[in-house]
Amino acid sequence: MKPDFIDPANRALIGLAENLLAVFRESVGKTRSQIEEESKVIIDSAETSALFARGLEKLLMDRLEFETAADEDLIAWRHQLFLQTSQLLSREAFPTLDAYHQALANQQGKPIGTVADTLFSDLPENQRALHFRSFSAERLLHRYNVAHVQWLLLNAHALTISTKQQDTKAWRQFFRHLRFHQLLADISKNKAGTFKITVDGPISLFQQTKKYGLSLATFFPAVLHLSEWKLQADIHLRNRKPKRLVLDHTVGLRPYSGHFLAHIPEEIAMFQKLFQVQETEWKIAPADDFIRLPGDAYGFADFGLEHPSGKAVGLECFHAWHGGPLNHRLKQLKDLEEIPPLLLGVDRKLAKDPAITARLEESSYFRKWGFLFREMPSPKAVLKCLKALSA
Amino acid sequence: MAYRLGRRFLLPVLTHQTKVKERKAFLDAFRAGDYRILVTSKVLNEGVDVPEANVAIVVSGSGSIREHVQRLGRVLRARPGKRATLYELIARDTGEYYINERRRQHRAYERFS
Repeated sequence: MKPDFIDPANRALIGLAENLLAVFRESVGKTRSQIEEESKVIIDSAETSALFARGLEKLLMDRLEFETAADEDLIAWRHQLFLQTSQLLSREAFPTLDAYHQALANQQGKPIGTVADTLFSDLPENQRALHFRSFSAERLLHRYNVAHVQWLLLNAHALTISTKQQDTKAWRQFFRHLRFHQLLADISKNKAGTFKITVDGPISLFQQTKKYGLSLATFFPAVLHLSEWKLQADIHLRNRKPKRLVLDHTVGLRPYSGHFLAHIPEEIAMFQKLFQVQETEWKIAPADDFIRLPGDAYGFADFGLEHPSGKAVGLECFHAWHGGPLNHRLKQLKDLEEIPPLLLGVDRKLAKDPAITARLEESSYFRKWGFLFREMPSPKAVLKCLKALSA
Repeated sequence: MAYRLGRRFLLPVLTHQTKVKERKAFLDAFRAGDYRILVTSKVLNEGVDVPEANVAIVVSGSGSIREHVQRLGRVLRARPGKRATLYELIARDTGEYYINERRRQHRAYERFS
């Protein structure tokens, strides 16, 4: 399978991108529908395909922040207005629409135009833009190509990345991002020094495939920060035969954001904050190094925990579609109970699987160093394991 | 279209954009008789406990006869002794006339006309 990438150096495409960017750079304070009207003028007059132009528009819309907070006062006012209109229409048969409008305007104490304008002002099309994250036309075109791959990865059932990346900050950030997006990887290294990272998929095709695909798609930009890489993914598009996507660093895909690697998802930051409020000795941070495991295997935990005494342990979380990797990890760790390298958190959704339940019950490692969680681990559960470790 | 009608006649509108809390409030108010009129799009087609009405005005209905009849059945809820009225608005000299004619062939129209 070969994606149809556009050429980011194409002058006509750069021109279109610049024209659209000009609209979005002036968008703060405007409503969504106003911005769409202005960009429609550019799209309708573009020489490129409208589908491509709308794709660029969508990517720019995604970089806009809109006011979205539910206005409770507006909702309450709306309810009162509808009660009034119901009562008016029950009491009187108005001869004309104007007569009805006038009666309502008198009750509201304001012109009917003002009432109508306010009525659905919280609809998405009426939301106002607060902030736009601008970038260059060339970066927008690179973003388009990356989005193309992300769309395919939404339907991926297995993904392998090969890289000779050396031990650098981008490499560690790459693995952090795997964990941030709840992806687990089997990491091995061959004699030539090439790392092979197999990102696991759901146990069956019917389990959480959409969320897994979304995680792969949102994780993918982290691959672009590696200097050399090759990616293979099995893509299952609806009503089509599965195909293999093969890409590498020579296809010309470029990162579109310098901030991607620095970003920490909100739920991760929240967990860290809650943990540190409850615990003053152990320090927690997103993991930034590999853990050596039996049999020349490597692991990369979600978090690293350090104690002033020098003790350190990783915390690895297994989410709903991580059954295979959990089984594998339990096998790897079974002889390391005395000096555990990892605390294991298992999502209750995953633990509902009878086969997983049986494995967890059999595992003395999990009994000692593991816990169940819902969505995200609780600091309390982690602290219970750390107390046993400190003893 | 639903929001244009809601704006023009200052009526509650229920679509896929209506937040869950407000959707429940609208349906409860209609059920209780506090709201006499509710404007809606396809969102009441399935999966919602639709309050009963005795007048339905179809402004721009579905081309699918089955979907159309199902929707009406949920809204009007035929029962012995009940009189319900259906209005269908058709723009002159448009395909809507033929869609309406096709819909009226359904046996539901024979039983209740």
